[in-house]
Amino acid sequence: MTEPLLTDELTEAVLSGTAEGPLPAGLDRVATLARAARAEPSVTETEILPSLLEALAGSVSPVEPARRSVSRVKRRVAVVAGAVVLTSSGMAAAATTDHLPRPVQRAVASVASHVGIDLPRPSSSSPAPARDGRPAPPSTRPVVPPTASTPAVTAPGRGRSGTTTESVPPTTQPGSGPGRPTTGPPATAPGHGSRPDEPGPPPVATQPHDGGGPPSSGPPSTYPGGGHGRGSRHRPQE
Amino acid sequence: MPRSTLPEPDGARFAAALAGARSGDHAAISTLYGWFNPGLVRFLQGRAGDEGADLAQETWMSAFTGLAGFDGDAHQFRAWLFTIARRRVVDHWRRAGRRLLTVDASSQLERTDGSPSAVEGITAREAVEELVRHLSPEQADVVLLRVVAGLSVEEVAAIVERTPGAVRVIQHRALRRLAAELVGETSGPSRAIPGDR
Repeated sequence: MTEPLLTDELTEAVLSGTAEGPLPAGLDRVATLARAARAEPSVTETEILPSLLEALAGSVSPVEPARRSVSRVKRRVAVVAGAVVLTSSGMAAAATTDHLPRPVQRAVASVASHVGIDLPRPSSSSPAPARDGRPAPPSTRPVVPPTASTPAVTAPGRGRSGTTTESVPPTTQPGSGPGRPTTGPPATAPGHGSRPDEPGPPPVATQPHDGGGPPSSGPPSTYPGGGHGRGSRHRPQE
Repeated sequence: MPRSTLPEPDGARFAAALAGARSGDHAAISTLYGWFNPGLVRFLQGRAGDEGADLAQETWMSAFTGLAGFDGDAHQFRAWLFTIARRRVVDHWRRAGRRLLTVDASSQLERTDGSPSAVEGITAREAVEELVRHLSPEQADVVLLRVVAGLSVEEVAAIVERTPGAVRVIQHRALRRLAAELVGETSGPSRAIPGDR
């Protein structure tokens, strides 16, 4: 076999069918075949079968795939972000109201103290005063529902929370609709210190937009902005 | 950059046909098909033999399923279409599970698609099969995408997932091999065309 001298220019000329003049042995045959392969199309190559035409017309997607995939990603991000916000705000609210398990509460309070947020420590029996020295006003916003680790709500009449020093409106159990009040600790910070020695079940806060029950009387809400962790520096507008 | 002698529309005509095809207009779809199918079916017949026509239909179906997401001119559409086609070829050989397809050369010569070439009286399909029968699958891909599809080295590199430099090497070796094989070749009773050699 002989191997022709093949430059880049000659390669391009052969492949594009523009090679002219005498070519090395064998390469002339290649150039001829390349030109034949690029010949004008036949009718059978250009005419579409009716069945294929119908299928193609019916397969065109009206939705742009790229946009559809982007919106799907955005939706997932929104769901994840929402879950993160809910979880973090719930954790923050639970930490503020001393509803976390004691070791967790202690750790969270320790961490929060480094950033200037006062959270009740599980060992402390004294109320956590507001930063301005005044007790926090009653919450006007619902706080998080109980977590799985928190005990169930105390039904009215069971008397456990009747020892609280302040009379507070009952709290509505989430999902129970109006008219099922529960009692809880006082709505102000000093209420922490007035709990009985034998702590009853923690109060249950009202889920937002949950059936139009009475305002939450649960633990003091220190997150007037919706529970984002810095509410202890603010007081709700009255 | 080589361009196919096969029909390729100007920008305005292509844009109009593409818009019509997206809305399901039969005339527009037929126009697109007429422009691009000849090169497509030649490429697929060169790579998959008689099953090339079926693969061409599958390629068109895949293209139209994603047509709403395509954005580009006629040449980009051609490159996009051949990208789909090559994937169909890969899937075809994977399904077939065979590495070499042996066909009867005499039966190939008897088969015509009604498009006799002005070059030595052979059809375009015969020319394609003659070109690729001595080549490896990768060389066949590169040569056919350059010759039949009229794509540039860079476009071919993107389709076969190699660098442009690697594609230049592949096409160079392919032509040398072809020239060497075709110098003193005599026809035999049976020829091998590359499936996945």
